[in-house]
Amino acid sequence: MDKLQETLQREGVVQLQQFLPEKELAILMEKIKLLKFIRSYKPLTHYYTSAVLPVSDLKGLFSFLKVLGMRITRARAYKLRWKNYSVLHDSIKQREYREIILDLTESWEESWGGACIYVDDSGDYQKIPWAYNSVMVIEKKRAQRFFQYCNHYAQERLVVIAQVQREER
Amino acid sequence: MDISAWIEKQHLTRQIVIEKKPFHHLLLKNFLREHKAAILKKALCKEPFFQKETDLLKFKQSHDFYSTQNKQLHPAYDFFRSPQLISFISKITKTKLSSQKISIAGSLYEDSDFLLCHDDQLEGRKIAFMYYLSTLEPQQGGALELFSSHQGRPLKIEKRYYPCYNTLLLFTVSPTSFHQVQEVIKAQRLSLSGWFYG
Repeated sequence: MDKLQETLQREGVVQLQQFLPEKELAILMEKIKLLKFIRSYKPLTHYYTSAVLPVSDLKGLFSFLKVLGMRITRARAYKLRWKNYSVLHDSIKQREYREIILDLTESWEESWGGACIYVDDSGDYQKIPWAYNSVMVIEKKRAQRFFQYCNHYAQERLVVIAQVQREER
Repeated sequence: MDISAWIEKQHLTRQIVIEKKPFHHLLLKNFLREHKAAILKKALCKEPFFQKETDLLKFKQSHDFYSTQNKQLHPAYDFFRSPQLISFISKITKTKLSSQKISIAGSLYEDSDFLLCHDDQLEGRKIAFMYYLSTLEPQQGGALELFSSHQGRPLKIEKRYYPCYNTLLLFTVSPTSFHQVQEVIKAQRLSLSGWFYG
């Protein structure tokens, strides 16, 4: 856990692969299936469908966060298909990102787009690679995030992004 | 510069209608004389194209003609920046233009390339132009899509123009000239694009 904390502080990103046990993964997928996904299209900023995922649905799945002194405050599930994207519009300011990304996409090719990319204040890009059932922990002081445009080869991409907060010690 | 040696006669003699919705634009089909279009395409195909990729776009672009080493493109560059052509564009778009400056470069969209919604606004840009050197069918994408707007924000796609060889498309750059280029599907979309300045 110390190594995880150290990497997070140094890189701003830590990936944990094959994260959820099969049973928990199946239960979470059932819960996500029941969510009400809403399409949102604002041409200058984004086009995707998403749904609020109650924090209670994630209870017990990310116990490592507690050790890191973090807790989930809210979560949203995103579905990305052909023509979906989000961009770094001038109106969207750089801000602190402290979040986790749970990748629930069973099959995906990098060439289809759809990657989640963080851009920090020095202009450096950090692309979050696709990995089924992986969790990325992201902690960046000043950044912007976007989803690459999904091209006509893309199937459906499903990710959960949860905002986390550091707890007062 | 005798622009009648370049432009099809019909465009120099007839009244050209400006489309007003969703924002001022106009389309000149069969714009250049056939042999001029063919020579221009041949010259442009010899130009190196460089990959551009950001959150907003993915396509290939040549250098601005201002800095091209390709001598075969010089006559076309001289034509597009000639005071006579700028005066013609100024007249048909009813826009005061400067004869001092234009930007022009080749754009190449290939499979899965795109350009998302934006307004083109940048200091001095008055008229945006696209001159198509390929024709695409609807199933191949690549259309220029123009958005209607409400309270300064793009609302929905109101017009869609698929690239058609030897067609010039012009639109007035404004805070609401929202447009995008549809993703190209298994095809090549070659064009010249740039701006006339005020």
